[in-house]
Amino acid sequence: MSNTSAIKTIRKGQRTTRLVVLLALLSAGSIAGMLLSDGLWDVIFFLLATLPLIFGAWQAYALRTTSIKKPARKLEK
Amino acid sequence: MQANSQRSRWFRLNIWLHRWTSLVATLPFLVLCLTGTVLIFHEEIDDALGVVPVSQGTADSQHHALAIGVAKAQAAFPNDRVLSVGLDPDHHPGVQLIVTAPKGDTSFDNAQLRFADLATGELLGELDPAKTLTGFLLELHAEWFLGPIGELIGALIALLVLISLLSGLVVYAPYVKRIAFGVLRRGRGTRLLQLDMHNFIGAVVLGWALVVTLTGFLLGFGTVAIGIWQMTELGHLREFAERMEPVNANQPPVDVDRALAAAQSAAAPGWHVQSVIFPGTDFSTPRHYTVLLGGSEGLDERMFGVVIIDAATGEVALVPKVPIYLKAIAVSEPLHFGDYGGLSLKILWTICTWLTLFITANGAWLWWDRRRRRAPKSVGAEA
Repeated sequence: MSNTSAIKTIRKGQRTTRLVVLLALLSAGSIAGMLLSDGLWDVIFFLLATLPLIFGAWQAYALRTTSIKKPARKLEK
Repeated sequence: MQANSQRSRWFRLNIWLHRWTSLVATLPFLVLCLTGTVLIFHEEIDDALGVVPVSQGTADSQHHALAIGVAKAQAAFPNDRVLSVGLDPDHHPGVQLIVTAPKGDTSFDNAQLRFADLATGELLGELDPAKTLTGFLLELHAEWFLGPIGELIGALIALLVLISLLSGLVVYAPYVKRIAFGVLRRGRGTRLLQLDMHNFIGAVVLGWALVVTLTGFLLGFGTVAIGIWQMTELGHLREFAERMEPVNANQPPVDVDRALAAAQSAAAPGWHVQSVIFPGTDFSTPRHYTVLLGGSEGLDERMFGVVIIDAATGEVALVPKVPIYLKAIAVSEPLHFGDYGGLSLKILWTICTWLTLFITANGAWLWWDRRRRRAPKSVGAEA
Protein backbone atom coordinates (compact mmCIF):
# COMPACT_ATOMS: atom_id res chain seq x y z
CA MET A 1 0.00 0.00 0.00
CA SER A 2 1.41 3.42 -0.95
CA ASN A 3 1.79 6.18 1.63
CA THR A 4 -1.02 8.20 0.07
CA SER A 5 -3.53 5.37 0.14
CA ALA A 6 -2.47 4.44 3.67
CA ILE A 7 -3.14 8.01 4.81
CA LYS A 8 -6.50 7.97 3.03
CA THR A 9 -7.42 4.71 4.74
CA ILE A 10 -6.46 6.07 8.17
CA ARG A 11 -8.43 9.28 7.57
CA LYS A 12 -11.45 7.27 6.44
CA GLY A 13 -11.23 5.22 9.63
CA GLN A 14 -10.92 8.34 11.77
CA ARG A 15 -13.91 9.91 10.02
CA THR A 16 -16.07 6.83 10.57
CA THR A 17 -15.06 6.55 14.22
CA ARG A 18 -15.85 10.22 14.73
CA LEU A 19 -19.23 9.70 13.06
CA VAL A 20 -20.03 6.73 15.30
CA VAL A 21 -19.03 8.68 18.42
CA LEU A 22 -21.04 11.71 17.28
CA LEU A 23 -24.14 9.59 16.60
CA ALA A 24 -23.74 7.87 19.99
CA LEU A 25 -23.44 11.18 21.84
CA LEU A 26 -26.37 12.64 19.91
CA SER A 27 -28.48 9.60 20.72
CA ALA A 28 -27.50 9.59 24.42
CA GLY A 29 -28.09 13.35 24.69
CA SER A 30 -31.49 13.02 23.03
CA ILE A 31 -32.54 10.20 25.37
CA ALA A 32 -31.76 12.55 28.27
CA GLY A 33 -33.38 15.46 26.42
CA MET A 34 -36.67 13.58 26.16
CA LEU A 35 -36.76 13.37 29.94
CA LEU A 36 -36.40 17.14 30.26
CA SER A 37 -38.79 18.27 27.57
CA ASP A 38 -42.40 17.96 26.48
CA GLY A 39 -44.37 18.54 23.30
CA LEU A 40 -42.60 19.07 19.99
CA TRP A 41 -39.13 18.83 21.52
CA ASP A 42 -40.05 15.38 22.78
CA VAL A 43 -40.70 14.26 19.19
CA ILE A 44 -37.51 15.90 17.90
CA PHE A 45 -35.41 14.30 20.62
CA PHE A 46 -37.02 10.92 19.95
CA LEU A 47 -36.10 11.13 16.27
CA LEU A 48 -32.54 12.14 17.16
CA ALA A 49 -32.35 9.23 19.63
CA THR A 50 -33.28 6.80 16.85
CA LEU A 51 -30.92 8.44 14.34
CA PRO A 52 -28.04 5.92 14.74
CA LEU A 53 -30.46 3.05 14.08
CA ILE A 54 -32.06 4.75 11.08
CA PHE A 55 -28.73 5.91 9.63
CA GLY A 56 -27.19 2.48 10.25
CA ALA A 57 -30.10 0.66 8.60
CA TRP A 58 -29.95 3.02 5.60
CA GLN A 59 -26.17 2.65 5.31
CA ALA A 60 -26.36 -1.16 5.57
CA TYR A 61 -29.05 -1.21 2.89
CA ALA A 62 -27.11 1.12 0.58
CA LEU A 63 -23.84 -0.78 0.96
CA ARG A 64 -25.56 -4.12 0.53
CA THR A 65 -26.27 -3.33 -3.12
CA THR A 66 -22.78 -1.85 -3.57
CA SER A 67 -21.04 -4.92 -2.22
CA ILE A 68 -22.93 -7.17 -4.65
CA LYS A 69 -21.43 -5.24 -7.53
CA LYS A 70 -17.99 -5.08 -5.94
CA PRO A 71 -17.19 -7.93 -3.60
CA ALA A 72 -13.97 -5.97 -3.36
CA ARG A 73 -10.67 -7.25 -2.03
CA LYS A 74 -10.38 -3.88 -0.30
CA LEU A 75 -13.08 -4.92 2.14
CA GLU A 76 -11.29 -8.00 3.27
CA LYS A 77 -10.09 -7.81 6.82
CA MET B 1 8.52 4.35 16.43
CA GLN B 2 7.96 4.73 20.16
CA ALA B 3 4.56 6.30 19.47
CA ASN B 4 3.63 3.30 17.31
CA SER B 5 4.67 0.92 20.04
CA GLN B 6 2.59 2.84 22.61
CA ARG B 7 -0.41 2.85 20.26
CA SER B 8 -0.02 -0.87 19.75
CA ARG B 9 0.17 -1.49 23.51
CA TRP B 10 -2.90 0.70 24.05
CA PHE B 11 -4.77 -1.23 21.33
CA ARG B 12 -3.77 -4.61 22.79
CA LEU B 13 -4.84 -3.48 26.26
CA ASN B 14 -8.25 -2.51 24.89
CA ILE B 15 -8.60 -5.78 22.97
CA TRP B 16 -7.87 -7.62 26.22
CA LEU B 17 -10.30 -5.45 28.20
CA HIS B 18 -13.02 -5.78 25.58
CA ARG B 19 -12.65 -9.55 25.40
CA TRP B 20 -12.54 -10.34 29.09
CA THR B 21 -14.96 -7.78 30.49
CA SER B 22 -17.48 -8.91 27.85
CA LEU B 23 -16.93 -12.60 28.50
CA VAL B 24 -17.21 -12.25 32.28
CA ALA B 25 -20.39 -10.23 31.89
CA THR B 26 -21.93 -12.34 29.10
CA LEU B 27 -24.21 -14.65 31.08
CA PRO B 28 -25.45 -12.13 33.66
CA PHE B 29 -25.86 -9.56 30.91
CA LEU B 30 -27.99 -11.96 28.87
CA VAL B 31 -30.22 -12.42 31.92
CA LEU B 32 -30.38 -8.62 32.35
CA CYS B 33 -31.36 -8.13 28.69
CA LEU B 34 -34.08 -10.79 28.83
CA THR B 35 -35.58 -9.61 32.13
CA GLY B 36 -35.12 -5.99 31.07
CA THR B 37 -37.18 -6.56 27.93
CA VAL B 38 -40.11 -7.77 30.02
CA LEU B 39 -39.67 -4.99 32.59
CA ILE B 40 -39.89 -2.30 29.90
CA PHE B 41 -43.56 -3.28 29.64
CA HIS B 42 -44.15 -3.84 33.37
CA GLU B 43 -47.09 -1.44 33.50
CA GLU B 44 -48.89 -3.10 30.59
CA ILE B 45 -48.17 -6.60 31.96
CA ASP B 46 -49.41 -5.72 35.46
CA ASP B 47 -52.55 -4.20 33.98
CA ALA B 48 -53.19 -7.23 31.77
CA LEU B 49 -52.66 -9.66 34.64
CA GLY B 50 -54.84 -7.52 36.91
CA VAL B 51 -52.42 -7.78 39.81
CA VAL B 52 -52.96 -4.20 40.98
CA PRO B 53 -56.34 -3.42 42.55
CA VAL B 54 -58.15 -0.49 40.93
CA SER B 55 -60.66 2.00 42.25
CA GLN B 56 -64.29 1.45 41.26
CA GLY B 57 -64.98 5.18 41.51
CA THR B 58 -64.34 7.73 38.81
CA ALA B 59 -61.26 9.93 38.77
CA ASP B 60 -63.49 12.86 39.77
CA SER B 61 -64.87 11.12 42.86
CA GLN B 62 -64.39 13.21 45.96
CA HIS B 63 -61.51 12.04 48.09
CA HIS B 64 -62.12 11.07 51.66
CA ALA B 65 -59.55 11.83 54.29
CA LEU B 66 -56.48 9.61 53.99
CA ALA B 67 -56.80 8.96 57.71
CA ILE B 68 -59.99 6.95 57.04
CA GLY B 69 -58.07 4.50 54.84
CA VAL B 70 -55.34 4.33 57.50
CA ALA B 71 -57.90 3.65 60.24
CA LYS B 72 -59.56 0.92 58.18
CA ALA B 73 -56.19 -0.72 57.50
CA GLN B 74 -55.35 -0.60 61.21
CA ALA B 75 -58.74 -2.08 62.10
CA ALA B 76 -58.42 -4.85 59.49
CA PHE B 77 -54.84 -5.72 60.46
CA PRO B 78 -54.51 -5.04 64.19
CA ASN B 79 -51.09 -6.71 64.40
CA ASP B 80 -49.67 -4.36 61.78
CA ARG B 81 -48.57 -0.74 61.84
CA VAL B 82 -48.73 1.77 59.02
CA LEU B 83 -45.31 2.75 57.65
CA SER B 84 -46.43 5.11 54.92
CA VAL B 85 -49.30 6.38 52.84
CA GLY B 86 -48.89 7.19 49.17
CA LEU B 87 -50.71 8.77 46.28
CA ASP B 88 -49.92 7.92 42.66
CA PRO B 89 -52.68 9.37 40.46
CA ASP B 90 -50.84 8.49 37.22
CA HIS B 91 -50.50 4.78 37.89
CA HIS B 92 -53.15 4.22 40.55
CA PRO B 93 -55.91 6.79 40.01
CA GLY B 94 -58.43 7.05 42.84
CA VAL B 95 -56.39 4.74 45.02
CA GLN B 96 -54.55 5.30 48.27
CA LEU B 97 -51.42 3.19 48.79
CA ILE B 98 -50.90 2.07 52.37
CA VAL B 99 -47.67 0.34 53.36
CA THR B 100 -47.90 -1.72 56.53
CA ALA B 101 -45.49 -3.93 58.48
CA PRO B 102 -45.73 -6.06 61.63
CA LYS B 103 -46.03 -3.87 64.76
CA GLY B 104 -42.62 -2.84 66.04
CA ASP B 105 -40.98 -2.96 62.62
CA THR B 106 -39.27 0.23 61.52
CA SER B 107 -37.89 -1.00 58.20
CA PHE B 108 -39.68 -1.59 54.90
CA ASP B 109 -38.09 -5.04 54.49
CA ASN B 110 -41.22 -6.95 55.50
CA ALA B 111 -43.62 -4.31 54.26
CA GLN B 112 -46.98 -5.11 52.70
CA LEU B 113 -48.52 -2.81 50.12
CA ARG B 114 -52.27 -2.38 50.53
CA PHE B 115 -54.73 -0.34 48.53
CA ALA B 116 -57.72 1.70 49.70
CA ASP B 117 -60.33 3.49 47.64
CA LEU B 118 -59.79 7.24 47.90
CA ALA B 119 -63.52 7.88 47.45
CA THR B 120 -64.73 5.56 50.21
CA GLY B 121 -61.67 4.63 52.26
CA GLU B 122 -62.57 0.95 51.78
CA LEU B 123 -59.66 -1.47 51.44
CA LEU B 124 -59.39 -2.79 47.89
CA GLY B 125 -56.74 -5.44 48.30
CA GLU B 126 -53.02 -5.91 48.67
CA LEU B 127 -50.00 -6.63 46.59
CA ASP B 128 -46.86 -8.54 47.32
CA PRO B 129 -44.56 -7.39 44.49
CA ALA B 130 -42.35 -10.46 44.92
CA LYS B 131 -45.32 -12.68 44.01
CA THR B 132 -46.07 -10.95 40.70
CA LEU B 133 -44.29 -11.79 37.45
CA THR B 134 -42.82 -8.31 37.04
CA GLY B 135 -41.94 -8.09 40.75
CA PHE B 136 -40.11 -11.42 40.53
CA LEU B 137 -38.23 -10.33 37.40
CA LEU B 138 -37.38 -6.94 38.92
CA GLU B 139 -35.90 -8.65 41.97
CA LEU B 140 -33.80 -10.80 39.65
CA HIS B 141 -32.84 -7.87 37.39
CA ALA B 142 -32.03 -5.37 40.14
CA GLU B 143 -30.85 -7.54 43.02
CA TRP B 144 -30.16 -11.09 41.79
CA PHE B 145 -32.35 -12.14 44.76
CA LEU B 146 -29.48 -11.05 47.03
CA GLY B 147 -30.79 -7.73 48.37
CA PRO B 148 -28.37 -4.78 48.57
CA ILE B 149 -25.36 -7.05 47.85
CA GLY B 150 -27.10 -8.10 44.63
CA GLU B 151 -27.53 -4.42 43.71
CA LEU B 152 -23.77 -3.94 44.02
CA ILE B 153 -23.20 -7.04 41.89
CA GLY B 154 -25.48 -5.40 39.31
CA ALA B 155 -23.33 -2.26 39.49
CA LEU B 156 -20.22 -4.37 38.92
CA ILE B 157 -21.79 -6.01 35.85
CA ALA B 158 -22.74 -2.54 34.56
CA LEU B 159 -19.15 -1.38 35.11
CA LEU B 160 -17.82 -4.37 33.14
CA VAL B 161 -20.22 -3.63 30.30
CA LEU B 162 -19.25 0.05 30.37
CA ILE B 163 -15.56 -0.87 30.08
CA SER B 164 -16.47 -3.31 27.30
CA LEU B 165 -18.29 -0.56 25.37
CA LEU B 166 -15.49 1.99 25.69
CA SER B 167 -12.71 -0.50 24.91
CA GLY B 168 -14.85 -1.79 22.04
CA LEU B 169 -14.83 1.72 20.59
CA VAL B 170 -11.03 1.83 20.71
CA VAL B 171 -10.86 -1.58 19.04
CA TYR B 172 -13.43 -0.45 16.46
CA ALA B 173 -11.33 2.51 15.24
CA PRO B 174 -8.70 0.49 13.29
CA TYR B 175 -11.38 -1.93 12.02
CA VAL B 176 -13.26 0.85 10.17
CA LYS B 177 -10.09 1.90 8.37
CA ARG B 178 -10.74 -1.09 6.11
CA ILE B 179 -14.42 -1.86 6.50
CA ALA B 180 -16.85 0.93 5.70
CA PHE B 181 -19.57 1.61 8.27
CA GLY B 182 -22.57 -0.55 7.40
CA VAL B 183 -20.75 -3.13 5.24
CA LEU B 184 -21.71 -6.70 6.10
CA ARG B 185 -19.49 -9.17 4.24
CA ARG B 186 -21.93 -11.80 3.03
CA GLY B 187 -20.73 -14.96 1.31
CA ARG B 188 -17.28 -14.68 2.88
CA GLY B 189 -17.84 -17.10 5.73
CA THR B 190 -19.87 -17.00 8.92
CA ARG B 191 -17.09 -15.53 11.01
CA LEU B 192 -16.58 -12.39 8.91
CA LEU B 193 -20.32 -11.78 8.68
CA GLN B 194 -20.72 -12.20 12.45
CA LEU B 195 -17.75 -9.90 13.09
CA ASP B 196 -19.20 -7.21 10.81
CA MET B 197 -22.60 -7.52 12.47
CA HIS B 198 -20.99 -7.32 15.91
CA ASN B 199 -19.14 -4.12 15.04
CA PHE B 200 -21.97 -2.55 13.07
CA ILE B 201 -24.71 -3.22 15.64
CA GLY B 202 -22.37 -2.23 18.46
CA ALA B 203 -21.81 1.12 16.71
CA VAL B 204 -25.52 1.88 16.21
CA VAL B 205 -26.60 1.01 19.78
CA LEU B 206 -23.54 2.59 21.45
CA GLY B 207 -25.32 5.77 22.62
CA TRP B 208 -28.30 3.91 24.06
CA ALA B 209 -26.06 1.28 25.65
CA LEU B 210 -23.92 3.95 27.33
CA VAL B 211 -27.01 5.57 28.86
CA VAL B 212 -28.52 2.30 30.09
CA THR B 213 -25.22 0.98 31.43
CA LEU B 214 -24.23 4.17 33.21
CA THR B 215 -27.67 4.49 34.81
CA GLY B 216 -27.60 0.78 35.72
CA PHE B 217 -24.28 1.38 37.45
CA LEU B 218 -25.74 4.29 39.44
CA LEU B 219 -28.90 2.35 40.34
CA GLY B 220 -26.69 -0.38 41.77
CA PHE B 221 -25.73 2.12 44.48
CA GLY B 222 -29.36 3.03 45.29
CA THR B 223 -29.49 1.33 48.69
CA VAL B 224 -26.00 2.53 49.59
CA ALA B 225 -26.94 6.12 48.71
CA ILE B 226 -30.13 5.98 50.77
CA GLY B 227 -28.09 4.53 53.64
CA ILE B 228 -25.66 7.44 53.42
CA TRP B 229 -28.58 9.88 53.45
CA GLN B 230 -30.06 8.13 56.49
CA MET B 231 -26.73 8.35 58.33
CA THR B 232 -25.93 11.93 57.39
CA GLU B 233 -28.87 14.29 56.74
CA LEU B 234 -31.52 12.19 58.48
CA GLY B 235 -28.99 11.24 61.17
CA HIS B 236 -28.53 14.90 62.15
CA LEU B 237 -32.30 15.34 62.36
CA ARG B 238 -32.61 12.18 64.46
CA GLU B 239 -30.01 13.52 66.92
CA PHE B 240 -32.04 16.72 67.18
CA ALA B 241 -35.32 14.76 67.53
CA GLU B 242 -33.89 12.64 70.35
CA ARG B 243 -34.12 15.69 72.58
CA MET B 244 -37.84 15.90 71.84
CA GLU B 245 -40.76 13.86 73.14
CA PRO B 246 -41.47 10.98 70.69
CA VAL B 247 -45.00 10.47 69.43
CA ASN B 248 -47.06 7.29 69.25
CA ALA B 249 -46.06 6.04 65.81
CA ASN B 250 -49.35 4.13 65.42
CA GLN B 251 -51.56 7.09 66.33
CA PRO B 252 -49.57 10.33 65.92
CA PRO B 253 -51.28 13.40 67.45
CA VAL B 254 -51.22 15.06 64.04
CA ASP B 255 -52.98 12.81 61.55
CA VAL B 256 -51.73 12.02 58.04
CA ASP B 257 -54.06 14.55 56.38
CA ARG B 258 -52.73 17.46 58.47
CA ALA B 259 -49.16 16.34 57.79
CA LEU B 260 -49.94 16.21 54.08
CA ALA B 261 -51.52 19.66 54.11
CA ALA B 262 -48.57 21.16 56.01
CA ALA B 263 -46.08 19.62 53.57
CA GLN B 264 -48.10 20.81 50.59
CA SER B 265 -48.04 24.35 51.97
CA ALA B 266 -44.23 24.20 52.09
CA ALA B 267 -43.92 22.72 48.60
CA ALA B 268 -42.75 24.73 45.63
CA PRO B 269 -45.36 25.48 42.95
CA GLY B 270 -46.04 22.43 40.76
CA TRP B 271 -44.85 19.99 43.41
CA HIS B 272 -47.27 17.63 45.17
CA VAL B 273 -47.21 15.08 47.94
CA GLN B 274 -46.43 11.54 46.82
CA SER B 275 -45.81 9.78 50.07
CA VAL B 276 -46.13 10.40 53.79
CA ILE B 277 -43.83 8.26 55.92
CA PHE B 278 -45.03 7.84 59.49
CA PRO B 279 -42.86 8.66 62.52
CA GLY B 280 -40.69 5.86 63.91
CA THR B 281 -39.41 4.29 60.68
CA ASP B 282 -35.97 3.98 59.10
CA PHE B 283 -36.82 7.02 56.98
CA SER B 284 -38.23 9.28 59.69
CA THR B 285 -37.54 10.23 63.30
CA PRO B 286 -39.59 9.04 66.32
CA ARG B 287 -41.12 12.52 66.34
CA HIS B 288 -41.51 13.50 62.69
CA TYR B 289 -43.29 12.54 59.52
CA THR B 290 -41.08 12.46 56.40
CA VAL B 291 -43.10 13.65 53.43
CA LEU B 292 -41.86 12.98 49.90
CA LEU B 293 -42.85 15.39 47.15
CA GLY B 294 -42.77 14.96 43.39
CA GLY B 295 -42.75 17.51 40.58
CA SER B 296 -45.37 17.58 37.87
CA GLU B 297 -43.47 18.10 34.63
CA GLY B 298 -40.14 17.68 32.87
CA LEU B 299 -37.21 16.65 35.03
CA ASP B 300 -39.12 17.58 38.22
CA GLU B 301 -41.53 14.71 37.49
CA ARG B 302 -38.64 12.32 38.13
CA MET B 303 -37.16 14.18 41.10
CA PHE B 304 -38.31 14.18 44.66
CA GLY B 305 -38.28 16.67 47.48
CA VAL B 306 -38.45 16.11 51.23
CA VAL B 307 -40.40 17.96 53.92
CA ILE B 308 -40.12 17.02 57.60
CA ILE B 309 -43.30 17.59 59.60
CA ASP B 310 -43.48 17.64 63.39
CA ALA B 311 -46.05 14.94 64.22
CA ALA B 312 -46.87 16.59 67.57
CA THR B 313 -47.53 20.14 66.36
CA GLY B 314 -48.18 19.77 62.61
CA GLU B 315 -45.54 22.39 61.83
CA VAL B 316 -42.97 22.16 59.08
CA ALA B 317 -39.77 21.28 60.95
CA LEU B 318 -37.36 21.22 58.03
CA VAL B 319 -37.20 21.26 54.24
CA PRO B 320 -33.86 19.50 53.62
CA LYS B 321 -32.16 19.71 50.26
CA VAL B 322 -31.99 16.42 48.41
CA PRO B 323 -28.30 15.56 47.93
CA ILE B 324 -26.97 15.41 44.38
CA TYR B 325 -26.18 11.67 44.57
CA LEU B 326 -29.82 10.86 45.37
CA LYS B 327 -30.96 13.12 42.52
CA ALA B 328 -28.62 11.28 40.14
CA ILE B 329 -30.08 7.94 41.20
CA ALA B 330 -33.66 9.25 40.91
CA VAL B 331 -32.99 10.41 37.33
CA SER B 332 -31.25 7.14 36.49
CA GLU B 333 -34.37 5.02 36.93
CA PRO B 334 -36.42 6.33 33.98
CA LEU B 335 -33.31 6.58 31.81
CA HIS B 336 -32.54 2.95 32.58
CA PHE B 337 -36.02 1.50 32.06
CA GLY B 338 -37.18 3.85 29.27
CA ASP B 339 -40.65 4.19 30.76
CA TYR B 340 -41.03 7.94 30.40
CA GLY B 341 -41.84 8.44 26.73
CA GLY B 342 -44.82 6.26 25.96
CA LEU B 343 -45.02 3.20 23.74
CA SER B 344 -42.68 4.53 21.03
CA LEU B 345 -39.82 4.88 23.50
CA LYS B 346 -40.57 1.43 24.93
CA ILE B 347 -40.34 -0.03 21.43
CA LEU B 348 -37.00 1.75 20.87
CA TRP B 349 -35.78 0.34 24.20
CA THR B 350 -36.90 -3.16 23.19
CA ILE B 351 -35.16 -2.99 19.79
CA CYS B 352 -31.94 -1.72 21.36
CA THR B 353 -32.11 -4.35 24.12
CA TRP B 354 -32.51 -7.16 21.58
CA LEU B 355 -29.70 -5.80 19.41
CA THR B 356 -27.48 -5.63 22.49
CA LEU B 357 -28.56 -9.14 23.43
CA PHE B 358 -27.53 -10.27 19.96
CA ILE B 359 -24.07 -8.69 20.00
CA THR B 360 -23.43 -10.04 23.50
CA ALA B 361 -24.17 -13.57 22.34
CA ASN B 362 -22.41 -13.24 19.01
CA GLY B 363 -19.37 -11.66 20.68
CA ALA B 364 -19.07 -14.74 22.88
CA TRP B 365 -19.49 -16.92 19.79
CA LEU B 366 -16.70 -15.00 17.97
CA TRP B 367 -14.35 -15.61 20.89
CA TRP B 368 -15.29 -19.32 21.09
CA ASP B 369 -14.95 -19.74 17.30
CA ARG B 370 -11.50 -18.13 17.36
CA ARG B 371 -10.37 -20.48 20.12
CA ARG B 372 -11.84 -23.45 18.28
CA ARG B 373 -9.98 -22.54 15.08
CA ARG B 374 -6.70 -22.02 16.88
CA ALA B 375 -6.93 -25.10 19.06
CA PRO B 376 -5.52 -27.74 16.65
CA LYS B 377 -2.55 -25.49 15.73
CA SER B 378 -1.38 -24.96 19.27
CA VAL B 379 -2.56 -27.81 21.45
CA GLY B 380 -2.11 -26.98 25.10
CA ALA B 381 -1.29 -23.36 24.41
CA GLU B 382 -3.35 -20.51 25.80
CA ALA B 383 -5.53 -18.84 23.14
